[in-house]
Amino acid sequence: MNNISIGRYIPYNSKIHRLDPRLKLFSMILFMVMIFLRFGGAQTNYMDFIVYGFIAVIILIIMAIAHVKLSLLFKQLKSLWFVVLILLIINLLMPNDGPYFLIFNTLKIYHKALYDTAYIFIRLVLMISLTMILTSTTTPLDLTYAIEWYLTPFKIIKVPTHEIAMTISIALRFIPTLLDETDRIMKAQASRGVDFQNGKFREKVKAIISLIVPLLVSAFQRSEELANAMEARGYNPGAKRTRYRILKWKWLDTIALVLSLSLFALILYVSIAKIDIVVLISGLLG
Amino acid sequence: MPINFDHVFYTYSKKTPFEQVGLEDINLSFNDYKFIALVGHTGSGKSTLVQHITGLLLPDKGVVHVDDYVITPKKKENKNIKKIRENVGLVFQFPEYQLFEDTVLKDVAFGPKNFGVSEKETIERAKSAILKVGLDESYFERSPFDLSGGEKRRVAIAGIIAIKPKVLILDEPTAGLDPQGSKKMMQLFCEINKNGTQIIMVTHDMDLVLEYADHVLVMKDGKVAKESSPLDLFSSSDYKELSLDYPCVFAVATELIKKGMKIDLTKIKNLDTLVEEIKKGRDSYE
Ligand SMILES: Nc1ncnc2c1ncn2[C@@H]1O[C@H](COP(=O)(O)OP(=O)(O)OP(=O)(O)O)[C@@H](O)[C@H]1O
Ligand SMILES: [Mg+2]
Repeated sequence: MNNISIGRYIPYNSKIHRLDPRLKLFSMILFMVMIFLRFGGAQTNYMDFIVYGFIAVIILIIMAIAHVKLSLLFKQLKSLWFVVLILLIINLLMPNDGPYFLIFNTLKIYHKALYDTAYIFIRLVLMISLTMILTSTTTPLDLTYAIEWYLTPFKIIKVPTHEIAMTISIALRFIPTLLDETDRIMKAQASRGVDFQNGKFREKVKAIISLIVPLLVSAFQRSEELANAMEARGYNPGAKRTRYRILKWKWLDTIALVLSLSLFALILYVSIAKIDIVVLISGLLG
Repeated sequence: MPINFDHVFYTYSKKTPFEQVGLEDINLSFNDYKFIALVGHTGSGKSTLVQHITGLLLPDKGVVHVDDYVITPKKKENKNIKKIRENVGLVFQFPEYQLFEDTVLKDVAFGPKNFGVSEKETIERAKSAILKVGLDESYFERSPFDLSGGEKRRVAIAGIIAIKPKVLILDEPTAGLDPQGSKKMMQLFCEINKNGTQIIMVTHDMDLVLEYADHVLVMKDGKVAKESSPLDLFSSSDYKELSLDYPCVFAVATELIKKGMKIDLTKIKNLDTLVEEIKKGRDSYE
């Protein structure tokens, strides 16, 4: 019930924490693209795993610098086993060809089904670690500043960028509050005999209602209070606003940008040129 | 009902940068007292302590005994928690956020119904609980969301009273109520207490402690700093170091004693007894 620290900002003072949020957002997108590329020739599939291993090592290094604990990642992955199971079942049921082995002498297990499952799973793990690095090293407010900055060009076509950014930042700001609220209401209802874990379907539905209704009521109440407070202090979305925190590009950011761009170029080249490390090395040796 | 704490430790958000001590080596026994007051500075761990009694928080280390039931650190070992909650009612700080049904009557009936009380008795209990907290029949069919803050509080308290627990825990039940309302509320608790329900009340109001409690527990930084009768607590100078207030009636009495009036502090419990003592003292003065 407690320990909902997943996806939360964790205040350390590492190099990664101090990087410009715009850069962090951009680099994360680059990494995501890298993860979605395909590598190696059509027949050989080990290249995917070699490149993913390489990216994983880099992500691990970044996590170490950023004080993001592996245990936190595992905690999050624990809730993923169900997804993996479903993936595996779907892949096993898919019509396939190629090499296979038999279990119980009847069930055909195609190598490709196992391979596909592992492939999707690794991608998922990599993406989760990336978002975790971003959210645990960047305050929600900084993240919105970054998003707003990227949206600036759209101002020309009258996209209300400031309002969008404000909405996002308020939403992010209230996630921990709502989680605390959920925890509190669950405890209050548990004191009145609600069992959130066990029970028949009907009881479960009632339990959920007893949580959702007060949560919604208090969320609406909060939003009204916030709106009133903002108006009382003269908030006007159309007005030009200055900012308390001004994003400053530093040397470290340039270095990080160059690093991520070169990594991206390298991976992109490996993908497009269909480079196969094994062939490459045996070619060099022989 | 016997309640015992045996070397109980609890830490919030363990192993994250948000780590925060909740309880530290708590050893307690609540057996011999009828009305226990739990006092201490903001953040001293009072709410954390009471949540351990009903298993809403499980200790990191140590054991809590409630009657024949045991609450241990391991989630799987705690099968009887619902039974504990039937016997120990907990009214939270600001309980008005737990209301969710469409009528007051239904909401108050929610608790007893969950604990398997028959339909007919549930309604009877709910009606009598609502009347007890000082609301009349016209409230039965009203929506709990249309009530004022104080009325919501009463409904929430009625929701716990209707369960008829053997121990009633109140976390600052009178905070934010008008003086008349809070006095009525205290009279209600007193009556419930006289009918054999043990009461554990968290409060910042030392006059309430003096008037109602037969035992005080002072918390400080997650530890129990002092345990004594109210009179002992306020007669020694400890209460100052524990950053507690002095009861108003005692403040008046000590001033008069300083001026030479003969007043017996041990007889003073509330305003009425203070007046009586002053009258007696005045007679001897002249
Ligand atoms: N959900 C939570 N997550 C993290 N820390 C918490 C949480 N709840 C309480 N704490 C911390 O634990 C400590 C004890 O809190 P607790 O709520 O028990 O205090 P309290 O004595 O009830 O205070 P108050 O008189 O203000 O109600 C505090 O330092 C508080 O910051
Ligand atoms: Mg509290």
